[in-house]
Amino acid sequence: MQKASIKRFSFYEMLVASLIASFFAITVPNFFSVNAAENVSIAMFFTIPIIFASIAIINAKKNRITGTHGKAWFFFACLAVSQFVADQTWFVYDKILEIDPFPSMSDVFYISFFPLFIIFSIYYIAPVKNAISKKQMLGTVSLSLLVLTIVFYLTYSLDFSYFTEKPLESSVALTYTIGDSLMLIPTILAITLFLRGKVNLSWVLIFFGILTMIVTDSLFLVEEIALNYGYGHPLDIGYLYMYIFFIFGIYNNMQVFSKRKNYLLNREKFK
Amino acid sequence: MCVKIIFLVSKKPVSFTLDEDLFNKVKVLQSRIEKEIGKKLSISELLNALTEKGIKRIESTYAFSQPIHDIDKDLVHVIIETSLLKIGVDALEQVSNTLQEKYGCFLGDCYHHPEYLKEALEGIYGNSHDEIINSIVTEISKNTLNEKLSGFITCLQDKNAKS
Repeated sequence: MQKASIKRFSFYEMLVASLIASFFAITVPNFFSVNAAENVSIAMFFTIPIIFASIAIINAKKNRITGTHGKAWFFFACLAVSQFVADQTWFVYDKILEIDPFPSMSDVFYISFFPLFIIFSIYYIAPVKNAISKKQMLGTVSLSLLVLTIVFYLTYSLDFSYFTEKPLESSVALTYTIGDSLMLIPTILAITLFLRGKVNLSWVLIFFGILTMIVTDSLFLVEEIALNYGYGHPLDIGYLYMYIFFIFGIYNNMQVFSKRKNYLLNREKFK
Repeated sequence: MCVKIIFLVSKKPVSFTLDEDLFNKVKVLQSRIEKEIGKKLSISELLNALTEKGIKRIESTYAFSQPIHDIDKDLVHVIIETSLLKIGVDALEQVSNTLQEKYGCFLGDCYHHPEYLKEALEGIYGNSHDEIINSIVTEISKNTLNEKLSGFITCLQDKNAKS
């Protein structure tokens, strides 16, 4: 019992340490030079997404694409790989080709997050879908619409001329705003469905990841309109936080596959 | 491979003599599930295969070396395992881990202690554990054993059942 509580404590400790470390990794180099900030940010956006993609692939492999959860984690791994590719494409456009990366091919990969996440959550919730009440569904959709309205109002009231002058950019930006709010529906539903359950921690962390993404994407749009965004911008903290929350969400799910207790590996002993 | 085995058992009873007891057949299928874990196994197909000739007929014509309740126990084990695998490997591992940590028992022991399984599912899936229980009960109800297992089902579905 004591051992379990120590393990749980170190999980939260690692999470907090990762959040603090990413905060300082992005902010501190800004006090030295723009170059230093850019280089650290580029390194972070290679390392963290690759950790995210790797852990998601390991988790999908452990789940063996068996059952609805297995399929769900497979799509989550696809999502993680797509985000890694998106980040690297953004880097290639911005630093190697020196072309404005917004909008670009990287947005195709970033936007693929939304359908992949929807498929992931549908598969994950599928075994308990009958437990979803109309009231729950209505409440979640209303909340999502409320967030969409707030984000839409705050972002689009700033500089509306941008949206009339640049229709492609504005439609891509609109996709992010709508997509971000839609992500809230399955996430909140999952939290309410699995409330008081062990699996809820993974969903709470994914929820924090989505929430961070909504705020960061909205602020990104504001900064992009003002042409202020670049590598090393404090907004990068938000995107790194999103990855960290997702990583820990998956890590929490993977904890059931400890070799010592693994049921399928030790099946004969467990009869 | 599992499907093939079931086919042999269900469609070609000649190869399946009553000298082999039901207990052993469940064991064979269990090992097949282990080997072929990546594939979907229809539990209803498995149970129909086992019950097609009728448990009662087997009971009346063959003197089991194993007590009949142990066969039921193994069937319940298979049903729970397959129902959880339909959700995912993580579900099976989580339930198995919880049963070991909290009660020091394994999936097969849930036949005698359905309340353990109920509490384990409640601890993992929180508010929606009833849905998982319903899926297990549905699988049990698909076969003729449900009368024998009515006590198990009642305990599993009892809201107030505590260990």
